[in-house]
Amino acid sequence: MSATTTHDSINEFDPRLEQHVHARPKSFWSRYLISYDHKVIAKQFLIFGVFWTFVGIIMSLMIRWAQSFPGQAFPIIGNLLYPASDGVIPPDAYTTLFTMHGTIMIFFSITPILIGCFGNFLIPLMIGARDMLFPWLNMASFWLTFVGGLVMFASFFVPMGPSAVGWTSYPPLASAPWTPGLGHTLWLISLYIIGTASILGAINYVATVIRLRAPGMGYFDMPLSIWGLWLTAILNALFLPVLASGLLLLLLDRVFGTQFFLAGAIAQQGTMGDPILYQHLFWIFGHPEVYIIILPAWGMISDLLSFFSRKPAFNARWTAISMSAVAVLSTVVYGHHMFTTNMAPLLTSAFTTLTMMISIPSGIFFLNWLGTMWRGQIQLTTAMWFSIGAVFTFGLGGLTGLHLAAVSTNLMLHNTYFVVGHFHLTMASAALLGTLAATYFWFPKLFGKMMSERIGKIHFWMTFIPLVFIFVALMVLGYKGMPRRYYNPYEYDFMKSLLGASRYIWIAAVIAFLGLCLGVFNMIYSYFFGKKASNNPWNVGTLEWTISSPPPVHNFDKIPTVVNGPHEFSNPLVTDKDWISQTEYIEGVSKKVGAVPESN
Amino acid sequence: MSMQTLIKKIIVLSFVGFFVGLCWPKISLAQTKSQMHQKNYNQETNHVHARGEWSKQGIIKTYDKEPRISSFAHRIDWLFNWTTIVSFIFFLIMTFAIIYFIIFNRAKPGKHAFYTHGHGKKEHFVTHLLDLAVFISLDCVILIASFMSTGSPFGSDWGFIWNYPSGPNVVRVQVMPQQWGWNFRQAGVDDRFNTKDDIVTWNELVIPKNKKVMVQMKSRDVIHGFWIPAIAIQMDAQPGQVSKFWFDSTQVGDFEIVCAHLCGTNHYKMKAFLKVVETQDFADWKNEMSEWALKTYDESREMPRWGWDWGINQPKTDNPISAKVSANK
Repeated sequence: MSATTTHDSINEFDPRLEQHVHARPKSFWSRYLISYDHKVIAKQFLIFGVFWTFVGIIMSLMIRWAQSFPGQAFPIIGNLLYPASDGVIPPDAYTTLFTMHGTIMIFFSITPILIGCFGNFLIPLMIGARDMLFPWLNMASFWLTFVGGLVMFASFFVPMGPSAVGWTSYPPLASAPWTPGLGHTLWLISLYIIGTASILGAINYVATVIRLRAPGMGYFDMPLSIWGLWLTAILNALFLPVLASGLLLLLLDRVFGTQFFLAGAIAQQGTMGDPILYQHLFWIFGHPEVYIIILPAWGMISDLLSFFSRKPAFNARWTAISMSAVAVLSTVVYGHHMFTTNMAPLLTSAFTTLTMMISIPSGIFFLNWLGTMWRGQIQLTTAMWFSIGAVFTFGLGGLTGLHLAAVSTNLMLHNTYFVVGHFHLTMASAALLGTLAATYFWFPKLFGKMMSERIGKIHFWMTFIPLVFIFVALMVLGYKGMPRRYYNPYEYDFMKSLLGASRYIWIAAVIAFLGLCLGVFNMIYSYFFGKKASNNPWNVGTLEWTISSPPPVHNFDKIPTVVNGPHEFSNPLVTDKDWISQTEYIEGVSKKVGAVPESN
Repeated sequence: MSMQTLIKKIIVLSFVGFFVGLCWPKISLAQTKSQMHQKNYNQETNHVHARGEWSKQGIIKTYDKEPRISSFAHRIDWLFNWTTIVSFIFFLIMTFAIIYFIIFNRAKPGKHAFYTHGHGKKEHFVTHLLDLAVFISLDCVILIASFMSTGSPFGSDWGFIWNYPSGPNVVRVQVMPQQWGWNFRQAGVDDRFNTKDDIVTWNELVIPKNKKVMVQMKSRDVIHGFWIPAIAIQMDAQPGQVSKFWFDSTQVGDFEIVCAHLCGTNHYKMKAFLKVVETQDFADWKNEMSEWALKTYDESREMPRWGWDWGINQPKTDNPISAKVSANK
């Protein structure tokens, strides 16, 4: 479709005018598989992510079982998986389990759902675009992810099993002499493919947000979800290449006999390279990665708290600015993962200080969340409960990060369950609860059906309480000195007394798992039997709620003009309702948008 | 009965079922088959599998104080406790705020929320003040306390982690972990490393009480983490480069050494012991072992000759570059 008119006030080339409208897909093939439509791609990412989430969560249950009942057969599926040991998880399988659990949850579960699904679905809808700027790139991004998933899945069935070196994959352990076999090579290839897919997606997101915002929508008129997704995409585009370089060098080491990371171990005289170099490459990516995962959740929480407090997001501008500040700072703090490598004192001091600085911007947007709820009219929907849960767990996880930021306590707590508890509270619990909040909130727009609120609330309490319990208990174990990645810590005298606590954690883990099953059941049940969703079931003003649910292929019949901020709630000038749509012009409230291109 | 009540009942029943199943491991069908393996895999912890006994151990026991033997561990523990307590206070404030908002700011029909964008001067002032309060009372204090324990990166006499001891009174140990065990080397009576009278021990490190121990580490194969939980801090041992740290012990006894860094399948089996003895006992032990090492020295055996020079002019070994150069020779 071509633009018919251009105004003097805008550029000659305005991509908003050139937006392509996809033809309505006819066959099953073009509708569901090779689809350019960002909404279909989002659903593909969702299904992909949910499948892998189940794989990853079952692995975590097996890890907890091995810790709580060492030497006993894993119930129900144990005998199928480990017939040679009568269902008992053997030590080598345990190593595989925590490696694959970490990898899967980070790269195949949270990333596809939070960034792949919601990023794809929300960015065009919330900024008022017909599709992503590069729809083909978007499709390529999903199918590359899918191929990466297949390669990872294949690695389960090769001789000697899948990767077993921890999700960080540190050489020399990950080098060929210490971890032979195809499993880890496939792991590297898979992550390389997934990384490429994420870079494609990230470039697309960044470009789309910059070029396709609806007329009148400045950067600070974007919903904070878009801010979060946008910053995530920027970090992804900048730092996944660093990971890719590390993975590639390691792959060369493993397959072609180069020596980038071998370092003349005593058992391997004459080799060269430096394993610490890999750690630097990995954590230059790895620390931004934790923010890559949590930033979209922060943005969505900021939005949802405002939506369900029926109150403008408190100081949204500063929330966006401090989120950007965290994104910038996250690139220069990675060294706190490497304090125990005998790093130079000056470097260590610098990284500690910079890490501490992160709490300034994170404190600001955290206080802004509380400020949003302050004097609000809080509607406790399931989405709101999940958002509050995410705020709570993120607070807990963020504060325990301080223990790990300081060098002296870090040297005590490094590689213990304290670290595991800490990053699961932020990266896993807060991001997971944020994802679930987003799912409950945008499900009507995704599938046109409402999710059951009643099951949703049970789901929330079954997820939230066990998660907090599990990870706080893990931190206690860590403080007691239990190192992570131990198959049987009870061989040590000082850890014998910790078995009891481990059993309580197992109970909580089972409850959380049942909660997750309930959530997925809720999704499937609501998809088929749920109440039909209206266009705007939550009475929210952002652009995606101005169109039908689910949206038509071309999203907007007419590209909307944005005249209000995304969080205009309870404006005293409007009396008949407590929300204002972003496109609704109200004298005295809305800003005046000048010359607007007439779009198709 | 509606769908929801049915689901609720199923959930409650499954909770009860799991609790019963946990307290009564015999119920699980899979377990009867694994009785034999249970013995093989888990002899030490077998006693706790008896019915109900695990619950007696309880979660409370987790808080028992572990012995801390190093002279500086209390300072790290202090920082840990301080961080925990102050952040817990902020956490409580946050929790109360959220609960307060949930209870008292609940939506009422027909009422509008307080309209503010939080852009005003007053709101800015309050948020930034609170943020600054958190930053100063938590982050800044932690940062200062952390530097008080590490010492200045430019050299100082106040900290302990980066203030490596030197001089004749320091016990020097070379550690070489491998998959999966620990090699320890101490200089014999000639006080030089890599000579015939070196005392090489396997999975047991003997040190005297109340003396500073300087450790140099280099891994044989992959990266390992040398950690004695009783002295609080840990350090990685890497292949190809020497890492170092120091510790001491104020108590006599045996303490467990664990590997903190994932190093393969049997990572959890890298158990060694730190044996702390009285000063005189240590001197006797050292003389005896050194003599024995000299007597049994065998030129044809390569295995125990993994040591490296301690560094240029042995007491002053604090320059990491010289340590690395000499280690790579």
